[in-house]
Amino acid sequence: MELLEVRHLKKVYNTRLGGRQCVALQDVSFTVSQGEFVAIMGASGSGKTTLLNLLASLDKPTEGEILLAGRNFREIRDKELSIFRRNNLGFVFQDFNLLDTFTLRDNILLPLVLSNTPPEEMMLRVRPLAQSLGIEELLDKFPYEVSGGEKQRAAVARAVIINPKIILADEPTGALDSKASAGLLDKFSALNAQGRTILMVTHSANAASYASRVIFIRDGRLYNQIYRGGLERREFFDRIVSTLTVLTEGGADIG
Amino acid sequence: MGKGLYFKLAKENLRRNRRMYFPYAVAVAVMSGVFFIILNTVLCESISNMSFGNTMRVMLLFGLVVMALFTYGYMLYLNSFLIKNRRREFGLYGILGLEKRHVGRIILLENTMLNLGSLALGLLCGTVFGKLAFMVLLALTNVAPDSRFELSLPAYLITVLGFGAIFLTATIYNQFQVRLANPIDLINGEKKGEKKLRGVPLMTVVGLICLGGAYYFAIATKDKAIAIGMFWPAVILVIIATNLLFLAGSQFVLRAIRRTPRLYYRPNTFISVSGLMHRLKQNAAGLSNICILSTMVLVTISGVCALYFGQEEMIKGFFRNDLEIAVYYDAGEVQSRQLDDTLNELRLMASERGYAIDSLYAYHSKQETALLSDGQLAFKDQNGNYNLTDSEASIQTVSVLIMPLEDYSCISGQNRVLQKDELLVIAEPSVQESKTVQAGGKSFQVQEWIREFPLLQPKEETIKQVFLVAGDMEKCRELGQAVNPSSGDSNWAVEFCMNFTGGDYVERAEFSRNVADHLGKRMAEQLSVTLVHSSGIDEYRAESYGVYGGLLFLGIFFSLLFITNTVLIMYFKQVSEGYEDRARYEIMRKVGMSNQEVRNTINRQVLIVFFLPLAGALMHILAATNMITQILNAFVMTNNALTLACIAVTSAVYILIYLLVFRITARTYYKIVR
Repeated sequence: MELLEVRHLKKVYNTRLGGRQCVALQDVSFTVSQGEFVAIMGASGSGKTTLLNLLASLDKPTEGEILLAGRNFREIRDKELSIFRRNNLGFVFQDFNLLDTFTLRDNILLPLVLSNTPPEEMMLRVRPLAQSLGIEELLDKFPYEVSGGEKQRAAVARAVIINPKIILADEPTGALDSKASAGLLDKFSALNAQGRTILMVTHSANAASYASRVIFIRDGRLYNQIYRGGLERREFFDRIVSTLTVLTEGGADIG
Repeated sequence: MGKGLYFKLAKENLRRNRRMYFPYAVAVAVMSGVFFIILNTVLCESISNMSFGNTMRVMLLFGLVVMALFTYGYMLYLNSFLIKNRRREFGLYGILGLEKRHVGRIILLENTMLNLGSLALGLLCGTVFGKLAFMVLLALTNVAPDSRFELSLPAYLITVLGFGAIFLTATIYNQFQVRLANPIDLINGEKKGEKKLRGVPLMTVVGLICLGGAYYFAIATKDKAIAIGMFWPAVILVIIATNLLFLAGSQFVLRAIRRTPRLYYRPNTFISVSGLMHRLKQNAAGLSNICILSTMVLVTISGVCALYFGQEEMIKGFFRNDLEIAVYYDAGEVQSRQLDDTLNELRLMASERGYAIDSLYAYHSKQETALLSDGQLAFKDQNGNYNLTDSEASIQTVSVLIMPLEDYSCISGQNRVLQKDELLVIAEPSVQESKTVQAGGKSFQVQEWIREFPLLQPKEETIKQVFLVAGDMEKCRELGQAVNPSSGDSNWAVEFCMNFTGGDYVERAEFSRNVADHLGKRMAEQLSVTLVHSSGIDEYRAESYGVYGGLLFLGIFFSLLFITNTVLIMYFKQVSEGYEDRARYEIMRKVGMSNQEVRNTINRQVLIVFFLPLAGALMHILAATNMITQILNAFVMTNNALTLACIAVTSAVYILIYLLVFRITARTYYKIVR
């Protein structure tokens, strides 16, 4: 069984004054298996963010279904939704979204605290994780005292610490320089190698080339998907770029 | 750029920031309205026509000056708060290409519109509610409401000029804010790391010691003189302690929680603690000021209320009779028949005015002094010295009044017969009974000690009175000779005491003066009068109502001002923090907190920040209760139950107002955060 199943997803936004409707997603279906590292690429306005919001259960689809480990999002009651999200999904955002008033340690522990984990267990979990992400020295610092790459690694630690079924990353390298980006993506690959499932939305062909599969969407529809297979990262990058070239022939603009 | 555009931008800015500017306008309106009302009252003609007019005027004027200083400080503080909140916006203007002088002009226009509008509103409210305030003042001072309320042009002018000066200062400050800043700083201004506070344990300990010391003084003081002496030191200690504890004490507690994983890593505490650490550090000064101001409002209002509502009791404590007139003479004699005629004239005078006479006495008396040593009376000897047996004993001066039996019988309604050298002694229980009274080498038999008599002075009087009743005027002269051998036959007076009901105190005071005049003239027909001394409760009452009514009036307006400002500071803080917190709560929601959890967290934080000052103020006033009672006792306001009731009611009303403001503020905060 697939870990994540997306079936005929459709999302329609009504403009504020009724009347016109805006179709953000149309008939999107795909699956993600356990242990996959999937990148979703598309132009601005192609529906990437809408798709991610739906997958994150922050928003509800107009039509179609999303199943995570066989559980249909529609069957989850609103009250349980945040608990479901907390226990099953890990988020990494473009702008880190760390709380300024917490140390990195406390930021990482936040989801565990919310689910009432005993303090001893939290400490046991945070140490090896911080070590593997290379931030164990920085745990007692505040977000404004560390660099962007370090902040994002802390944010990854926060997403991973609950052992989510899937990690959802929204442009995780968007606010980082190329060195920090490479460092972060290496960590993603490492996490993926440990068997974690990652779904990453990105603009960057370079970032996408770390994935094992890239899904392209255009104008709200699934356009194409390519698998890395046995390719070197460099070669995969070239394949992604050439697909993008085809994708943008219609005049769409890739940032 | 065209003038129209500036105007449009300024108008749009005010509209967009209305969450901040509307309360500001209300505050300016309240402050200028209150200022105008009091100023108008001071300048009002009809106040000076009242019996206590001048006392009241001076007091109100003093209050007005204090109020003006407070208003000035508050307005500048609020203004700086508002302008700092808009730094980003000014930065953005700079980046969009507006020059600083353009921004300056927009701000100038904004300020002018805002301030003129709110000042006009304030004056309008002042005009509308001025009459109401005037009626309240009349009611508080128990004057019949026939005084006319007038609006005075100078009051308008002074208010406009005064607030104009404040606005000018604020505008200059705002211009500097815009000129001095550069766009990058303005845009990034809000995102800075904060320093860790140093010396927290030390400050906490010092704060606790100060607070403990102040509370100890306040609670342990049993003496009113010490209470007055210790009041200001205790106030200063409390101010220091409040500041230290809000700043360091809060951090101390929160850090202690943070060091205890079992406590800290719980969903509720986890987020609140770090949020509060940040908030309380930023706002310690503001919160402790609010706490201190609230305490001041509570202390002032409850004290002033206690004095106002207790004054009738205080006044009655000073006067046993409504009117006492002593006509002193050095020669002549009044027959009792003539005295009766005079009393009948007084009855007629009273009934002409429609007053009912409750009691009316007249008696002859000779006033002397004696010493009370260990409950024993000691009189002067030949040389005017007292002969005391025990020099170590506690000594007190008492006033001795000698009166003939005839007058005593009239007043008490008892018929007694006194033998030669026999006396009646009328005195308080603190004067010990003895079989005889020794005076001037003579021994007088005491027929009876009498403890209850209408003329005995009330207990508040520091000098006690002792009446010695002798058989007739002849005996009285002998007794006087014995009591003070060197005085001769002086110090004789005819005393009149009167108690009556009806009329307000202004008319009664006038009546009292008429009675004194009449008696002086009437007695001069038979006696060579040296002095007419009149002491009436109503003349005192006029003074008392003027002072305490005026104090209460001022107190009400001061509290109105304090509460407006306190509320506004709280509101502005919450709202501006709401914008800051919005980002934090958004993150929490994304990380997996439900809306309910986020709301609970917000609730807890707002609640603590909001109610910490109130809790502090209530704690302070609870500790101060004993001291307030003692100090009021020193002002002869001895009804402690009334004082406690005033404190309790004032606190309850204050809590209610606070709750109301909390609800409004919390609602606005949610709207922003959501």
